[in-house]
Amino acid sequence: MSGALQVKNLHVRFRRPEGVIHAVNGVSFEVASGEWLGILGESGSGKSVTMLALLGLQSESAFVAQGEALFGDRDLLKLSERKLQSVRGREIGMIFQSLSAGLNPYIRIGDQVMEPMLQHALCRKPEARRRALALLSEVGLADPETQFRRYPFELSGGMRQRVMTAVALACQPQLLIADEPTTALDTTIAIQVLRMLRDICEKRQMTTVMVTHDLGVATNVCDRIIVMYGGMVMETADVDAFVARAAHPYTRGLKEALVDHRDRGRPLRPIPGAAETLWEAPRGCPFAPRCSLADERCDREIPNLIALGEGHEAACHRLEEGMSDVG
Amino acid sequence: MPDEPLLRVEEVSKHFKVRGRTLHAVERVSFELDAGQTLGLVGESGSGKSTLGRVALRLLEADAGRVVFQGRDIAKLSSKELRQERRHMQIIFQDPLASLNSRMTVGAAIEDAMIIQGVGTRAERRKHVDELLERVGLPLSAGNAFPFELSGGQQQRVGIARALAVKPKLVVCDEPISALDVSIQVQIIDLLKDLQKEMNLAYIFISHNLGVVQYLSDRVMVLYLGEVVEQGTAQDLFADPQHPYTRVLIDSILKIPESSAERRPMTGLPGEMPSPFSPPVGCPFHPRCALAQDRCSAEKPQMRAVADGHLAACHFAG
Repeated sequence: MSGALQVKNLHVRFRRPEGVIHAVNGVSFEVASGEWLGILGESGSGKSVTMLALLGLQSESAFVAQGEALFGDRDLLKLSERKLQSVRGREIGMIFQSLSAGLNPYIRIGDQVMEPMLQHALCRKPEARRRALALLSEVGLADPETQFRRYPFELSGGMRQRVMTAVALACQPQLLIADEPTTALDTTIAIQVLRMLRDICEKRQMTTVMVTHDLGVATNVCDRIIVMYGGMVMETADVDAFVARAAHPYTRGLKEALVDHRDRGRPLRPIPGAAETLWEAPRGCPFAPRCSLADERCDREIPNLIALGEGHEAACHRLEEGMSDVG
Repeated sequence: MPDEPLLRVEEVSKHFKVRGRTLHAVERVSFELDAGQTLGLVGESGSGKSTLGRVALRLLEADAGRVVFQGRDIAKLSSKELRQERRHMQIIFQDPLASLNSRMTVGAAIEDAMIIQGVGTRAERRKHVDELLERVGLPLSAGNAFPFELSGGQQQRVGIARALAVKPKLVVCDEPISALDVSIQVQIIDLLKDLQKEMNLAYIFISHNLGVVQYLSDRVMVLYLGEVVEQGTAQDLFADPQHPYTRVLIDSILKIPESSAERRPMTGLPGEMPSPFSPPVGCPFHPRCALAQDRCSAEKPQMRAVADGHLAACHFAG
């Protein structure tokens, strides 16, 4: 069960001068060993906060109110900061979206790739150097000896994302968490980086959780997708069920919001309204204010995830009612 | 001149000097744009799309070539004339928050655009601000809010209202939806489309989202290293791309597959765009092109018609 992760009933809140933001409201999910899970959502859905909270990297104003995150035989949320430091970067690798924040501009690439190995005392410097060169080559950088001596500003965005991947992989983690790894890149380059990530994860049999807002990325790379909204899981499905039978009104709205050539001349069907900041714990479905199917039950009762098929669940009262009508 | 287009860009080049070296941002680009029409500009970062959009508005001075707006060469306008002409040429930015004054209320920011152009009395301007807020889908109360108090989608609506406050004829939309959530993007696209119809606006729509460019544009230009490599109607260009780079861009769109078996093989484009300080000799795309032959590194392909109104700069197009 290497790399498997089980999150149970996670609640994360932010303290703000105006009150408390309920960012994550009872999220549960599992990632099986070797699986590539996508967490799909828009800004404010709680997707990034969820992953940061598991790693103890949430901002200072955030706190975990409740929940468990079982990784191996440990609950990540109960580990001391010191213990967590020995997990982060060593057993769990991380790649972030921001191309500037992930690397230190004053430190040569090679030293940044060696750093986690030295910090976690996996090996001594000559061995770390040998491994770092192999990693730079594994992430697809030509001429690793030269790259080793360069500074981040000398690299393009795509190359920097490859270097950050090398840093994340340095200690051979079992679980990789990638938060919007290709969002800042051109699509031509994003495809190269996704391809590289997929090849490496397959070869190393690494478990991967990728946070993304991009349906195209999620459906082309992930084995299974979780859709979040308002800090809750709206739907979870393996990719086949997702593309063929996505059922939740929010997921369907997202799919219809993708604009392509077939749309020329047809009116678009936007999801009305916008996500709102949750100053209170949701009492009903967080999507209800924007949902064309919502009725008053949706406002007052939180829907549970119901099974729609093998590996496919959605949290929607109307779907549940529809099913019982049919049944 | 009855046939004069709203905007005519002729052989425009823009170079930047950086520490003694020359960056070739835009190289001899020409196009025309009629009132009420949309020209889409696509290409990777560094292809020169944004620079071209700014040169078209003379927010940047062209180093060579001419930009003719409503029959007048805008490089020859005095600063006073230019300011008057600017009323008809506006821009919407990717990051609406950065483009709005954080210490000015939304209403004041929209009114400011009119004040700069000396439009209306104070009462007329205030009334117009309310009309604009309503038209772009904001509550009137947003007029008293500061930009940071609004969501990203609302901020972009303010950016649009501000650009439209002076009733322009041409709006450069520089990645106006890239920073927004998918569900909000569609709302903004819809709004831009409706406003275009109502006000007969011409758009230069810059985006790396090809699906949206295809949806909104009448014509599309593909840029690579500051040069146009293909242009045509949105229909032709996407249905029958002629330049290998255009094909790669279209292939790079990650669509939702029909099933997991239909997933994209993700071959992608090898390598990255060469340095604009030293663009390759011959075809700018040849170092990354699967079709490239000796001729491509020796001889720059000329733009030529492959079909009516469809041009490509590739030795093997057509």
